[in-house]
Amino acid sequence: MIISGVQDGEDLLALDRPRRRRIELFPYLMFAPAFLLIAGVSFIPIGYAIVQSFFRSNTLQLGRFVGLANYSDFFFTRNGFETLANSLIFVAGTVIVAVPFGFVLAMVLNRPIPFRSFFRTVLIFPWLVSNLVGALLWAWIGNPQYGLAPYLLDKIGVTMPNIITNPFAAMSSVIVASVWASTPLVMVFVLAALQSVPTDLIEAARVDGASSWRRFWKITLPLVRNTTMMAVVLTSLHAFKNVEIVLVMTSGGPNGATETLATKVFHEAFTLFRIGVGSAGAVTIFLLNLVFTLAFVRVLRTEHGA
Amino acid sequence: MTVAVNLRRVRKSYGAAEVIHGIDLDIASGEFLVLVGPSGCGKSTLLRMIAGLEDVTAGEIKIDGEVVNDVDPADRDIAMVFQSYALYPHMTVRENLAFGLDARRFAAAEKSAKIAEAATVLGLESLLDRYPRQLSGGQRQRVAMGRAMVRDPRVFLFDEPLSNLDAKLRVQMRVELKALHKRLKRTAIYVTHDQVEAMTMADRIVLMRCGVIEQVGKPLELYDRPATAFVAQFIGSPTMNMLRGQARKIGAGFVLEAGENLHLPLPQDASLQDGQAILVGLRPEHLQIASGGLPCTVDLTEPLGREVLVYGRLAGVPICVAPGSRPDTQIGDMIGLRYEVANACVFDGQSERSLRHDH
Repeated sequence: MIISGVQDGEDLLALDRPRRRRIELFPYLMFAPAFLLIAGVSFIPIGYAIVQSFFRSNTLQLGRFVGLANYSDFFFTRNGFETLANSLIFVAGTVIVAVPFGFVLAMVLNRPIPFRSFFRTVLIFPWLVSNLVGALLWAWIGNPQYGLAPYLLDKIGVTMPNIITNPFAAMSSVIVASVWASTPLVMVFVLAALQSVPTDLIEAARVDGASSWRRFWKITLPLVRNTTMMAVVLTSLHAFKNVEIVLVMTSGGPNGATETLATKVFHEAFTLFRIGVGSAGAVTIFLLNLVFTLAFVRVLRTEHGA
Repeated sequence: MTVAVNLRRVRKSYGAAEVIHGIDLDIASGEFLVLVGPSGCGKSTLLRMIAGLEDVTAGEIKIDGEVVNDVDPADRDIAMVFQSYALYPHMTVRENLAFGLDARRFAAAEKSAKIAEAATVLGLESLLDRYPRQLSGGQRQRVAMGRAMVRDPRVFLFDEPLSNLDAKLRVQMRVELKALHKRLKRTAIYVTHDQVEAMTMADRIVLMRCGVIEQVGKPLELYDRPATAFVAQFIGSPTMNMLRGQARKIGAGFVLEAGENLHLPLPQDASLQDGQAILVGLRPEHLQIASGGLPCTVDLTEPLGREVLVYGRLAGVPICVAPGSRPDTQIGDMIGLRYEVANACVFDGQSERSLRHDH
């Protein structure tokens, strides 16, 4: 059989010619249900909240158009900026403690220690438990009357500050609960990243004469950095919009010391029924998170741009 | 400075399973030694023990006369090239080359000079600021070699460094590596499963199987005088033909009695007994097609260009002939085969060890 090279060439040329595009409906049909579901529970409410944030309404029905009045209301009345500061403290506290803590746990669990699988499973638990249950648990542990923590500290002669009346103790206690809930996510992320670092690289560095500190600093850390950054972003976003922990443990008190943007949104919308003001707060949180995420993606892109 | 490496009764176990069963080996200063064998024979484990990446269960490893069993890899003054190259992905070629020098606190000027020299030798000058992901397989291979070279170690260790390259590049890199060794004159231990690599590159070959050394020798010694049937079949391509049967004394000499009434004369220097079970090895290139020879039916021919391999059956036993030419034979033809008796290898049927005296 003779195969003609000319014919082959013609076929290749045919591929280059513009073809009439056929729209494949099947893939769209396949993801339509998921899309509709997400649109129903996510996009439409977000869109509606944005619209509502420009209207004064006390119910779910739109009232009159007020422009940006809801936004100024949200920030300039009832300690609006203080709640922003509280949010930032809550997020920073969570990230600063949970990320190094999760990282160290991942490093330990990446080593061949006895009962490793057991610890891996147990340490994931806080992540599986709902924030509400976790918050109840920590509220109980820290309770000034019958809590475990004041009792144990009392045994060793330390008086624990009251988490219901002391502003600093209140903020610390909600951060502890948030760290408890966030650490497993960081741990799982970092552990996965550590396990994907090829053993060859570490061995090559050993042969190259690098000390264990240098191997960690120069090889392991750069290779897990992006994943760790991702964990930082997710933890921050999660903490920023957290409502349950603060509501259950301190309800924003004492005297607004733990009121965050997210709990203020809740209070405005569902305690005071100022839906428009609450929506303005919710939209603000959404925008801040969006800006933060986009900034992060941009940082990652420039680093990978090489 | 070149140094010798000595292994004394080296053993390695993982739990109850022993994978290296007491290896004794002396690697001379400046020698290019190749550890070769099939997968799982323990060659890589042995190399990693020399590198210090695996613990030694029993025995001693000496580098330059010093026992290094408990010495950290960093302090053995060795360099290793990995099969995966193990280049640091987040560092440029220059940083990869510098990493080992930084760890050893070289002065900046000396570091730059060493990197520049290695880059020139390996043709990496234009690639110094690239990342490993921007390099081809061959270029990565060179960087891996450069990283070993800049350190100017006492011993080079290579763990199948060419297996990830395509066939053409592998041949090219083989030649370059050998040239590099000639130039640097450092002791090198090279692990491969490819017998061609072993034959072409080694000063001496160590052929391993199931955690023991089958034979140590110069490449052509292993080829011409294999100590065991395993060595005979591992070295050489196409593989040596093996005929199993009994030794029969006829007159002053012995013949192999095998297959359907096949009688093959055997070399005089083989120590044989009448009726002894034996294996006779005939290299494909030692068989010639000649009329009046042993009758063989042709099953298949394989044109390689330089020659045409002929596969057939000699008295029912499958056999390959590499005639060194392009004989005009067709499938189903009957051809005659001759061989030089002195070229035949004879092994004991049970132990599979060579029975020839001058082998």
